[in-house]
Amino acid sequence: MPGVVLEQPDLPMPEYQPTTLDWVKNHPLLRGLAAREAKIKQSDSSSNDIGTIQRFSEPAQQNISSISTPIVQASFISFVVKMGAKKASLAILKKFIKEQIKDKITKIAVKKFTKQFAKEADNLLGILEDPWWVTAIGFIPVIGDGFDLVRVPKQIKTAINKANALEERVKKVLRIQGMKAGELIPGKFKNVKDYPTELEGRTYAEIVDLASGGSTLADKAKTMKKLIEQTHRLMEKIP
Amino acid sequence: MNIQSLTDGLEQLKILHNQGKYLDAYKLLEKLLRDYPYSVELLVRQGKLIQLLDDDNEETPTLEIARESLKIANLINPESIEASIELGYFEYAINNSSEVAINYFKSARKNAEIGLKSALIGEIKCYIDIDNISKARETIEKAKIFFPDDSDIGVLEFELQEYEGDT
Repeated sequence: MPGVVLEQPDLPMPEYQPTTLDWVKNHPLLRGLAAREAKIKQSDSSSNDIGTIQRFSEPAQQNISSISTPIVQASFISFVVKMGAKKASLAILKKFIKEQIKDKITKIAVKKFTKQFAKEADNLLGILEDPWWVTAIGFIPVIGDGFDLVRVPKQIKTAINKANALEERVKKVLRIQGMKAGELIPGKFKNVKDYPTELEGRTYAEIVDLASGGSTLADKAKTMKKLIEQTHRLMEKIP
Repeated sequence: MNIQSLTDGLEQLKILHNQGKYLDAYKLLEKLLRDYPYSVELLVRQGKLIQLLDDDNEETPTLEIARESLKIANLINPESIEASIELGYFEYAINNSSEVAINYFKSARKNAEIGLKSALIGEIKCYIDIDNISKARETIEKAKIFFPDDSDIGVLEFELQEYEGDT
């Protein structure tokens, strides 16, 4: 009959358990969230290329990292390890810039890149002349080529990241400068209107020179240069 | 629609892209687009990926379809900075139409400036809120470089000066 509550079986009450921190941490919903946050943090920290603009989303950090800093997949750190040094130092960082970057820059055939990269390398060396830098940089290996920098001033980390990024760009130009245009673009681009087939056999360095010159091929070289640079822009790794 | 499947798909796309497996990435993208046809992010990725595909496979879409994807993304969200940038580069590099490209780049810059200003103002407000006045000052000085004579930033600076006067 509606409205009449029948006698209920006498079920035991579940045992009371206080809400502990572990319970909260292990809650399925929060576990998922934590895993996602960890993933985001990991992908954040694996990025090397900080460049000149600091990331706005990061909260302010102290000048010197207290315990450890994000892991760096650092070409510089590998350089330190190859040198057999136990700790990276300012002198080694300078050596890295001079030997690994400046020496390579001299091998670049495209003038505008040579000038720009040399300027950036000099700027980096200039920054490192500041008297307050500490000379030793602590680092501990984490996994593979990954290293965790410890007790490193933020500015040194930035310098290392900039040096690594610059070295990458130098290597990239060195890699492609001697390659033929036809090898540097995907097949799709060969269907572009006014595609300059006759320049397919020219190297990237030649294309850049032709594009900035006043020859009859200049316009065609400009088209080819745009296609090559678009390809490389699109191929850039997604952070 | 499942958010997890979308985020997983995007992660997988990123991996395939970074490995240079553009055709595989494109195939996955097509699947994702069946479920999320109006995702601006996916449409922009489609526009970019098509350009990287080789032409040896006749089934791969044309550059016109790449442009179409970017156009749709721009139509759905005209404020999308990435869609405008990609359309700009498409016009500049593929269609050799710098004059058309400029308009897309201008639009992207305008939207980026709006976003940057909002972000800087938000950041300054937070620093004031947590009494980190020196950081608020530092950020407002940065904001003034990007947006000199901006009225919203000027008002915020007056507010900040009051706090600076108190300390």
